[in-house]
Amino acid sequence: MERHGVTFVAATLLAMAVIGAVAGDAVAAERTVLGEYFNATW
Amino acid sequence: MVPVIVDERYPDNLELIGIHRTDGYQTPWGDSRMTVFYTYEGVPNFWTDSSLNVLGYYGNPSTQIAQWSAIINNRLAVPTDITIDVSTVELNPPNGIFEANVCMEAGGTARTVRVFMVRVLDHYPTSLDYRNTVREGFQVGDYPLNPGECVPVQQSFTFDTVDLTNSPNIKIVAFAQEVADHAPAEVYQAASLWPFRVFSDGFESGDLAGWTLTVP
Repeated sequence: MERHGVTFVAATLLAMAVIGAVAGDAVAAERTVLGEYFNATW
Repeated sequence: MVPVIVDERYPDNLELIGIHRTDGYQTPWGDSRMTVFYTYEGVPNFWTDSSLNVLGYYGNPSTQIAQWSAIINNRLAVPTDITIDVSTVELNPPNGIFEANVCMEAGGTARTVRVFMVRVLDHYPTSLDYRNTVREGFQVGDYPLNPGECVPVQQSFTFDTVDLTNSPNIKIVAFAQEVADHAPAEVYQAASLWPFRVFSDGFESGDLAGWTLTVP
């Protein structure tokens, strides 16, 4: 029973790591911000 | 103020474009962007990623720079799954074709993005050293993207005499935005191509009839 529990915890941690890696992939791009400066010379 | 933001604080992660209103430096795209997309709010007005803005002047440069920096920093902290690479397809002055390769990362969220391409001239007009003033702009189109996919988006521009005599200051800016007709509508990514050379007398097309070779 306890062994199953350890296995379950290990599997859960592995799944979380995989999900975390995938989520990390989704946000890996470096952002360049667009600035729009509306103005006039008058 | 603007040079501090552009040159000192954010030289690598801000694409700033200047859009003028009714002062002789306005453009059809800029007018539409200001009055239709943003529903004219007044000038000066500084927007970041079409998500956050600072309207008006706060009395002194350091305060203004702090206000602008705050909304730039806010946006820099927001993750994105879109990348853009801008390149030259063809240069045959006064015309040029440029490409924005818009990609979604493998872990991204499938959606359609609206791509804009804008030609700007830096240090123009020269009176107050205005930066990256929009000379010509286009809403190029809407493009569906799936994770891991890229779409090459091309746009033709026509340079005028002012541009060609200041060609080192020409930039091509591209950005991908949420599909919407009015702000706020998140800009996912921005990129530019600069510097690039504008050749003359047929050099770029290979027609060297207008050239002479003088050996010293």
